[in-house]
Amino acid sequence: MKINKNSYIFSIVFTFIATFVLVLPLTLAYTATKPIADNYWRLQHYVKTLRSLGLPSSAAQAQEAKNAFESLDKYQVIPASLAAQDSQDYSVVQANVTGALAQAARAGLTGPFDLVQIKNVKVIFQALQDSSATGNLPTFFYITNLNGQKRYAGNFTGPGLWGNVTLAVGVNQDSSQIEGVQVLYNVETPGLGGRINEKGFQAQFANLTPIDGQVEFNPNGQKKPDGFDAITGATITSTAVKDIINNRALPELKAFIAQMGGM
Amino acid sequence: MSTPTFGFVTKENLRFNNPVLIQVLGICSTLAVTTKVLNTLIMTLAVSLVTAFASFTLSWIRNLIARRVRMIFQVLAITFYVVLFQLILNAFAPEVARSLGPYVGLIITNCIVMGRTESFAPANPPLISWWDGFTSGIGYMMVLLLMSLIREPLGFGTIADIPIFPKEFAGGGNNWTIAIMAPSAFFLVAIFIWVFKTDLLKKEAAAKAKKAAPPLPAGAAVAGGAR
Repeated sequence: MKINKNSYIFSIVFTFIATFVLVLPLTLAYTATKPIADNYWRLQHYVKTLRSLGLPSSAAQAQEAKNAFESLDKYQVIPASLAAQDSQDYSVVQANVTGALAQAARAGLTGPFDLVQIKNVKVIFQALQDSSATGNLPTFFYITNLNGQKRYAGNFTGPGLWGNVTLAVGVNQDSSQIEGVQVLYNVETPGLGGRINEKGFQAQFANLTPIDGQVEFNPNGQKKPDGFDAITGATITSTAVKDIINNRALPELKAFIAQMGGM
Repeated sequence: MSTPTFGFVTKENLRFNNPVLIQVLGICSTLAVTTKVLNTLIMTLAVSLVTAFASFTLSWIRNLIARRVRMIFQVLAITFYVVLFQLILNAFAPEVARSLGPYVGLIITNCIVMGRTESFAPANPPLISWWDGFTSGIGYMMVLLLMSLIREPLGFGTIADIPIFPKEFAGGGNNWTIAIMAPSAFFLVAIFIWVFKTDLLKKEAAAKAKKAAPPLPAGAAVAGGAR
């Protein structure tokens, strides 16, 4: 039988077969590499959360980082209905939170919101996996106890230039001093805004003292106690980092500390 | 139509028909990824391999593809290799994947890949198509590496992340920010084209004057339309 390659039937059947033949190996490759990529992001999350609390941590010592991360107390703000449903993963610390703390609930969800302690770390793994493409990670709060002094951290997402920027921000016991800021997720321009991911940029946040709960850019050539250097040529990304710290991280951490301080 | 030889294809793609300098294709990524030598190397390597294998695949099934649906297969085959490369990068070199950001995915619409799979692969056997795709990528790599070797030292004071200038240059705010922004890439491409083309024309004129050397080989199908 002679095949007419210009017939519609042949085009459709051939397109179908070719698509199947090409997409199948991709699916298999995706399934095979997904756990490796997920492991990497999980380890990054451990290391960066610990660093934002001012604790030394490195990806080379994966097991230490994992243990240290799991020993942190973990909290989240979720809808009350969900907290009531899932009592093996969450235990309610404070029902019906309002104000800055309610702002920490994931965008798009409706209240009332409860502040819950996370009993099962799998909740965080699942959230990391779900947000790996968009960076839209729900806000988790962490507490560590260092020589009798508590430190608080959380991860906060905000809009950058091209997509979401997610920061891990850690503060001391009364949020008067920043312990560290680490970039968990960004899709900013490589070489410009993408430089927020560099060590030098992130290191300058350690021991900053916000004035009235705000940090600012350093004026040209000067260093201020509440200031950090913006990245030249990446004004929008630098401002995004500043806004996430000022409008989300610091107020929400302050509200969280006030809530936990009564305990 | 006779099949071009490997040597002819190599010379065409690296020199007389260089994808960046003569055909002026792939300019978008030329601006974007040439700020760091390492990123440039990985990106151009990816383009070379994707172009090579996509050309090979499309040339292999060229007799089965109806003319009016050929675009679907071109994009499908290119996407296949790009996504495969991206998955491998994500799993085994996550830091590189991160610093390249969205640019790996954008290889799919890289004009060089589209141009070679549209113009060369459907008319030639698989092996020479593979070689054509690969050398096109190498021609692209040559120019981009040269650019990144100029842009990275001026912009960051480093080459492949190794500092080459004193700390006062990069850390003291004396680096050329313009060198890592898009305009500098335009200037550099223009300067390269100018130097390269002048040299080429001079040689051509010299050859004509002697009347001994053969004229420039006719361009092997310059991809038209693709940008």
